[in-house]
Amino acid sequence: MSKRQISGESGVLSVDHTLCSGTGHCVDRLPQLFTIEHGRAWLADAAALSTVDTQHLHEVEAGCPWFAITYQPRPPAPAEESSPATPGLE
Amino acid sequence: MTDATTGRAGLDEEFEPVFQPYTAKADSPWQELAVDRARCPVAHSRHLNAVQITSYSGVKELLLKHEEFTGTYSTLWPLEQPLAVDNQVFSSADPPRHTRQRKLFIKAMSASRIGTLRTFSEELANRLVDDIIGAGECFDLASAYARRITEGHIAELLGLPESERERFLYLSGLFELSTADPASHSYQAEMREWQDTLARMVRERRQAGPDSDDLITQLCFAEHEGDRLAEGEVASLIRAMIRAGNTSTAAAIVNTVHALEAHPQQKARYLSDIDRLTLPLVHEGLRYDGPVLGLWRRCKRDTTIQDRPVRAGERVFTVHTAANHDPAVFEQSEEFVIDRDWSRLPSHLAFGYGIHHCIGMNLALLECEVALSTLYKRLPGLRLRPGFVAPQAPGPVVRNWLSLEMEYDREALEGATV
Ligand code: HEM
Ligand code: HEM
Ligand code: SF4
Repeated sequence: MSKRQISGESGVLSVDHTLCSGTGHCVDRLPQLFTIEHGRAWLADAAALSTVDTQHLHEVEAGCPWFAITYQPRPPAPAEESSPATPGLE
Repeated sequence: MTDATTGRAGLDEEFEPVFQPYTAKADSPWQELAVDRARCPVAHSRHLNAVQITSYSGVKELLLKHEEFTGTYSTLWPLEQPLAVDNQVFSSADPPRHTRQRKLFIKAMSASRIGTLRTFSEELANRLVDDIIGAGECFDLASAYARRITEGHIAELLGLPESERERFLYLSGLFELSTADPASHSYQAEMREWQDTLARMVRERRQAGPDSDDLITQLCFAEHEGDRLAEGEVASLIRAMIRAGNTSTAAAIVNTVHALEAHPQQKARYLSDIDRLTLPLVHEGLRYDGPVLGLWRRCKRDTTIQDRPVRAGERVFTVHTAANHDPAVFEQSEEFVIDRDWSRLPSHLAFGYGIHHCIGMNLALLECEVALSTLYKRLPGLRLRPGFVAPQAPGPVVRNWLSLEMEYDREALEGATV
């Protein structure tokens, strides 16, 4: 299933389709997360997000020539709270 | 200048590339570029006084390494010094200055926004074909059609009133003439007039308010760290936009027609299914003979391209058309094939790659698509004028057939237009 926004333990990743021009720089970097359909980028399942290093998420955001990708890292959970974070689906 | 030609450890000392665009620019350089790519895709060229890169993976690697390679020495001319900071715009600006400039234009140039220009685009192309038909049976594709298509679109994008379009584009063209011949002072008064016109336009649009969605209005109300852009900066960004968008897109249209006319079988296929084949034709035209032959960069710190060392201070020339003919990436790479399935191919590099990826791409694709399909649908028997030999623009940076004289069957037309 392809989406415009996914969130997981490491944060929230989204693609703005009013800006995306389908150039595919994101697919070149992270083919496991991005696909191109009908000239726009789409995101894979949220589960895939946790397989990707946050460093690479920052790079894919900076590497989009149309500034269409936003990656918002999740703030680190306070140390006392030990509830396991569940990968959310949107 | 000497450091670029000495101590070439790691690069092939013996090999001087055969691609020599300053002294012997071939009408069809593909064979030379194939030789250079096969022998050494990252090679120092004495002719260019630069490291010449001719493979797809090499050009792409360089364009991704924007922290190592700067455009501030100009990407269009091999300058010895960086441009003055005020003149560093778009491809000749590095981040963060570049990022700030580019962000200002992104919305106006996005696929979704440019899509709204399609009706304008179709009307313009049809009007220009009407003019061609009105004028006779022979015409120059470059001056009667391609350049007018691009000028019309730029004017629309900027929201220029009809009455001012011609003078505005004339004055912005002067700037190109004056950079081609910097010794000439004859344009200076007119150029000042142009700068004044722009500055006045900025003031007027600020007074009119932010609601119009044309590009000049958007720039006028864009803010950076709480400040509006100075009138002068808006003016130079707009000027750069006009320059970057006009000749290049006109060349894309002319080059594609030139290639199509040289390949009768492909042309026959195209005519049999214009609606389906226009988009892949546009991309094949850009791949096969795209307007950007190559671009300049300067190396900022020691690095490698395709594992070959490149030193700080060295000049680099990326040959985009050579990358686009790389047999490692494209099957039948030296052939013009109009029905490639681009959804399954890596993108060609005619629009560059990475942070400087052509911001005008969506507009250029729309212009090419509408211009080519309208031309071939409306002019029966369209062909090059027999015996005409098209002149190629000089220099290493552009591929551009400067004029293309064409004719068509007027009788067939009159029959068809009742
Ligand atoms: C088919 C036509 C076109 C081609 C082949 C083309 C090609 C290119 C290439 C190769 C670059 C990258 C430059 C570099 O890496 O140094 C570029 C950048 C640029 N192009 Fe185009 N272009 C075309 C049409 C347009 C149009 C229509 C516009 C504007 C209306 C435009 C505006 C720009 C701008 C402003 C940049 C600089 C972007 C940046 O540095 O972020 N181009 N173009
Ligand atoms: C096939 C023809 C041409 C192509 C493909 C082409 C391509 C480009 C590209 C990609 C840019 C980048 C814009 C930027 O980032 O600043 C540009 C800018 C520019 N072009 Fe061209 N160009 C062509 C013809 C010409 C000609 C004939 C001239 C005049 C001598 C010219 C003068 C300029 C200037 C002055 C700029 C702006 C540079 C700046 O403001 O830094 N171009 N062109
Ligand atoms: S890199 Fe950006 S513009 Fe290109 S396809 Fe991905 S999201 Fe869209």
